Amino acid sequence: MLGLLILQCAPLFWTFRTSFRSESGLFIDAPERSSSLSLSNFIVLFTKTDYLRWLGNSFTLAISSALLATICAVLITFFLIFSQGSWQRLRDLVMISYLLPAMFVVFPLQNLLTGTSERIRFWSLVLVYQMFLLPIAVWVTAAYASRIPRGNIVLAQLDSLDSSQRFRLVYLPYARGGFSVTFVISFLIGMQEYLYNFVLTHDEGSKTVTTALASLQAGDVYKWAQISAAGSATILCCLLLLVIGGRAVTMAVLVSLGEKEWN
Amino acid sequence: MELRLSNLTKQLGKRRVLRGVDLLVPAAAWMSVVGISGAGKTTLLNIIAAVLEPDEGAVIIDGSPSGTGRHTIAYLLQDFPLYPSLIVRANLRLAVDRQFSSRGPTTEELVELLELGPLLTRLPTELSGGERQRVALARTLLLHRPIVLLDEPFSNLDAALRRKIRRRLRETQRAAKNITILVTHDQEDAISTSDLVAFLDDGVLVQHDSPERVFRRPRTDRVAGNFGDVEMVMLAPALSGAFCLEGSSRNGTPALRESDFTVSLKEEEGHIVVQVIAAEFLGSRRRVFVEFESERFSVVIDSYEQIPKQLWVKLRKERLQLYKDGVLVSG
Repeated sequence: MLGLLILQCAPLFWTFRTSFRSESGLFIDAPERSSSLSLSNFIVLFTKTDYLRWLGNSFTLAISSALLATICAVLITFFLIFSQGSWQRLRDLVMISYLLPAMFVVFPLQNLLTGTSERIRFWSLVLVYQMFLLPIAVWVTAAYASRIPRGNIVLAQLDSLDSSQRFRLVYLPYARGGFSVTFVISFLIGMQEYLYNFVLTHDEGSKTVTTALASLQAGDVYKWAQISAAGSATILCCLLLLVIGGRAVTMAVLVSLGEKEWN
Repeated sequence: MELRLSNLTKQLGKRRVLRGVDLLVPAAAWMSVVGISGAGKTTLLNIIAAVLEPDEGAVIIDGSPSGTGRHTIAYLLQDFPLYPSLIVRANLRLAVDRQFSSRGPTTEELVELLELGPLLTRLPTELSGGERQRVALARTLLLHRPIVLLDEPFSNLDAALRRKIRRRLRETQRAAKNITILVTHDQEDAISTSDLVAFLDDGVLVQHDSPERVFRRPRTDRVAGNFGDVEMVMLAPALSGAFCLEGSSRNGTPALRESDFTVSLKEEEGHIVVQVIAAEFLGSRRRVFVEFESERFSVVIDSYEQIPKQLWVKLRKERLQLYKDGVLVSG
């Protein structure tokens, strides 16, 4: 367990430590023993690059696509849970789409979107991301929904509940814990995405943090300290967003169920 | 309204759970389905409620296939499901909103009968197993359906409450004139409430009869061994000889309930003497394990009697049954 923790934390520590290096250590990729700390990399990042725009694009894409994936996954799982027979096997079948090589999708999409405006290409990424977000999102929501006791599903059938009642009275109470987990996982995967964004958008204004980090390359060397600063700032922003956003979403769900009041 | 099961067959995985079950439940009857675990009792209820499809056969309600008549059936499932986000009162109200007719117990009556008053504002997660069972039972009965299926409805209840609820439910059922099918492991539940008993053994309907007939003339030795509060004693050859039953024992194994022996504490004419090995206290009676020429069997005596070292035993020949290859041949 300790080993796993070290394995997880070491790269993070290295990223944070490197992001505070002085300008003299900008291109060094090895760990540095010096104890001097500097904010110069962050100052450069926020004043001399389009970092805030990249971050905004990343958040816009990741939040929109995670939201769409979560809503679709919740509805698909709801359908699978209350359908009988062979439909239920679909949950496992959706994972097969991961076996599809990305290039089989990227090139036809690139052709399809050629000639469209940059904004359309940017927003089309929200749909494109569903290709890899939806299977995992369905899998996660289905895992949570499998906690619904069989008796409750049968009870809903025997009581002839309509779809909205089944959703509210049977599905939501047991599966709602999975909604935020699905959103967070989808959001984090969306934040990491590189390939589709790189291939399908060309404008500087459409770049996300992952694709834009390439611009911090100087010839064949990397500005490690600035890349780390971008990474550190992105991690902190993600954490802030998830903590604040997560609470807001949970609160909204509980309020909508009448289990809590806004205070 | 009558319920007919015609040649019901169901396989779950590799196991045939029901094998050609045919039976008729007449209008306003209370039928108990009994049998050892895994006999197919719950599967039978699931098929009647159209929760499961039979592989063969049909459930016919008043001449129509049951799939079209789910709204006529109320079903208390074995795990007593309730809607988790609704308090008990709201769970009951949801059932009231789905009532089939106005004929049946009211919410107030059931709250009083099942002692639900203090539970009405609680969520299902705040209920104990027995409380949850009572709420689920109430919501099933509030549906006022012509057919009520109850799967082990009293299993978590205390003995006194169980008896009280059982009696009142029977009165309610008689008043509402619905068909009630009760799956139970408890012999007392089945014997005391039912007009009919259906005994399932490994998916086969072995006997479908009044409780008295199933108790007195069990069709197989397995029915005999698993139905009734007193055990069936299969008489070994030595015992048959001692009781002068050689004639009938040639055609099978004579058997009778342990309560069908006349037992005396002192020597009496026509009785055989047996040695007492052990005894079990059963409340009003005592089961005494005795031995005769190394053949062991059991009899019952009044529990207020002291346990003697030997007893004098005679059997009531008119209550003898004869089983051949486990099947009743005469009696």
